[in-house]
Amino acid sequence: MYAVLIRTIILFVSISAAVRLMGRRTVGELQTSELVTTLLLSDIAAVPMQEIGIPLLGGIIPIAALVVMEITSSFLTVRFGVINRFLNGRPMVVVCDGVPDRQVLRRLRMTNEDLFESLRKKDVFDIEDVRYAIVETDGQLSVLLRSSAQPPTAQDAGVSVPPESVRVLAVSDGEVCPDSLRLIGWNRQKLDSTLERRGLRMEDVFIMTARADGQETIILREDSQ
Amino acid sequence: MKRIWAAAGIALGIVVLCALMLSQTRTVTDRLYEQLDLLCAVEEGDPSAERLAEELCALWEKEEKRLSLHIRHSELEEVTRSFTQLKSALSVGEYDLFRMACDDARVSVDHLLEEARLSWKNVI
Repeated sequence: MYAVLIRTIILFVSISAAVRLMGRRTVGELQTSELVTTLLLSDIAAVPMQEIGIPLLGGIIPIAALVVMEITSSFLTVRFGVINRFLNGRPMVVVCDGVPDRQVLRRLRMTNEDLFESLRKKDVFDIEDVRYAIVETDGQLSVLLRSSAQPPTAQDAGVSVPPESVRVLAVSDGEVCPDSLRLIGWNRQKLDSTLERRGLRMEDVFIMTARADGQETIILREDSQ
Repeated sequence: MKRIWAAAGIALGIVVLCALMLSQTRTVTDRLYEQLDLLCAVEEGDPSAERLAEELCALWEKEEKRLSLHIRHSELEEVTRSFTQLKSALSVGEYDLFRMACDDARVSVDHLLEEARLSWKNVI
């Protein structure tokens, strides 16, 4: 059983590295080739994980080959539009001005019930409000509402609002998040001086969020309160 | 761009690894064939038969560990079984059984090489 344990660890590390190498899109909304790769990866790893009679290379080589094919197909789809269209298809307009396109729905093997369900998931309960509804290549539905159905913006209301400012996680469980600091134009000295002003040390902080305008919020660790 | 180079590197690594594994299997099976040919050519009652059988088994014991990196253990066990039968047949002096065990051993080694080769049969 130790052998099974060690194999599991090795294959877990291999798959984690593979998914990491393939990139974020594999984990998020999946295109066709990404879906195929994800399904295959788990099946390929499962067999040598439990069967010690099968060499580990019998799992690692197919995993590596899948990674190569996935990266190559991603590269080609970005470089060549025709390959992208061949592998992933094209987005399709299923609703235009409140009217579903029957032919497109049939091509997508989508029933009216499927369409209405997808619209409800986008918080659209009246198809008349839809200017365009597009089924993307990953199967997700994107909806553009008619202007009359869209919620008003500050601009529409003639209200002036302060400029947007992102709030980032500057410190997480005593550890600085340098990328987040860079995003709001802070450096380490500014962070340290902010904490010093509040009489705090880095180790005391559980969560610290901050904005570019200097506004910060600090939640202390339980043992520091 | 870096990812595609990483993919190219991994692809090259896989091809080289597969070539090395095939080469290793060929080398080992060639040596096994040589030893088998010597062993299976002995006449009944030849005193060198047992020594040759021991050498064959020692060679297999050494090479089996390396082959287990890329060949299913069930196939390796088949070869071990056939070589053990050879030895047993010799030790009890059953020459007909020994002849059959020789053929069996050759088939199991053939199978090892066949499985490792790139062929339509293996792909399909």
